[in-house]
Amino acid sequence: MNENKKRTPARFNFNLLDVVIILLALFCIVGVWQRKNLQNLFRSGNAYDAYTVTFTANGVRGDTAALLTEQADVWTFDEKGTKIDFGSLNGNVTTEPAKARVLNDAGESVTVTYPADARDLRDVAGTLSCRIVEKNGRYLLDGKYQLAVNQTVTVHTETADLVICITGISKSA
Amino acid sequence: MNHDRSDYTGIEKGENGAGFGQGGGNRPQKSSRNLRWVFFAVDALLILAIAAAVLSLLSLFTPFSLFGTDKKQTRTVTWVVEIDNASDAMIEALTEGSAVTDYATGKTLGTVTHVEARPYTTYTDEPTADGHVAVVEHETKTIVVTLSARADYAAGEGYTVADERIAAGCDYRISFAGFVSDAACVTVH
Repeated sequence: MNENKKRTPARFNFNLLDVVIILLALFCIVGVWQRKNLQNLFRSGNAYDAYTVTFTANGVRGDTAALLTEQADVWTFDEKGTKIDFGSLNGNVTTEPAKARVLNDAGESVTVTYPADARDLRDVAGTLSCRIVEKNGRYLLDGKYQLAVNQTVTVHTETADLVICITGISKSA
Repeated sequence: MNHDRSDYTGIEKGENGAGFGQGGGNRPQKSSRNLRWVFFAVDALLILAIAAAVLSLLSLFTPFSLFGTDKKQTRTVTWVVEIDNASDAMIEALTEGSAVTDYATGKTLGTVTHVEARPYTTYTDEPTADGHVAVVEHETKTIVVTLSARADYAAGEGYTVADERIAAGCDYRISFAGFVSDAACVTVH
């Protein structure tokens, strides 16, 4: 009889602590999944948005322009040498014979094109899909590297390095 | 006292060797099993969360990659460099199968697989009658050298040979057969 008294019916008490633990576990998983956004949220108080950045690059070798293919990852380095992911190319770039402004015999400035020789210099235009934080009218790549229209940036892909000039920054639809 | 054993949980099962459901109904046994699965599920969730957090921290603060995308591979890379303003002697020195090294380090950048030469030209600031930039042709040559090398390759980074990044637009100070020259990479295959 004493033995039976020691036995107590077990019941599953699903209390508040269990709910908190399960919610914390779920938040951890979501946090890992969205870690880059969270990093940026804590760093700058804003979250990433998808942006389209348009650019041009003048006087690029034809061979080099051919390496700028769709979905190519593009990155740059900040002044401290830290790699900054720039984004990826939207489609292949468009090219046309590179132009130059020169003075003619009358002293007038005229636009001419580079000849279609072995160098095959091209003017390149393209768009990049980027993740940007917009803060107080400033566009921050990776939450810290500022981008602006008319800015020139040395960018890198797996197989090419080139200098681009940013011609537009707009939020992706 | 008449005790209905079905009031007790499965924890007792091991104590007296008698399982539930023996005459007294099986509701507590089912409840116990359900309870066990809830604990298992919560434990598994917690373990997953902790493992994910640890892996994430490792990927953020160490070279270890969570998804293994930066694993380096060894690949053969074929790349083309151009040497401007080159002499005939330099063209003759660049034979197929010869090695080209980095001038500063002496490390091999690649083996010559093909050599072409064309007149060395530069552009002027004057227009031609047909609307092009005028070209001046020099007596020297531009050598187009195709090199092949075993390279470290990492997705999202590209090719590296002898600690030198191999990419179009990069400049190199190369040496070969007693010559030294500047060379510019124009394409990578």
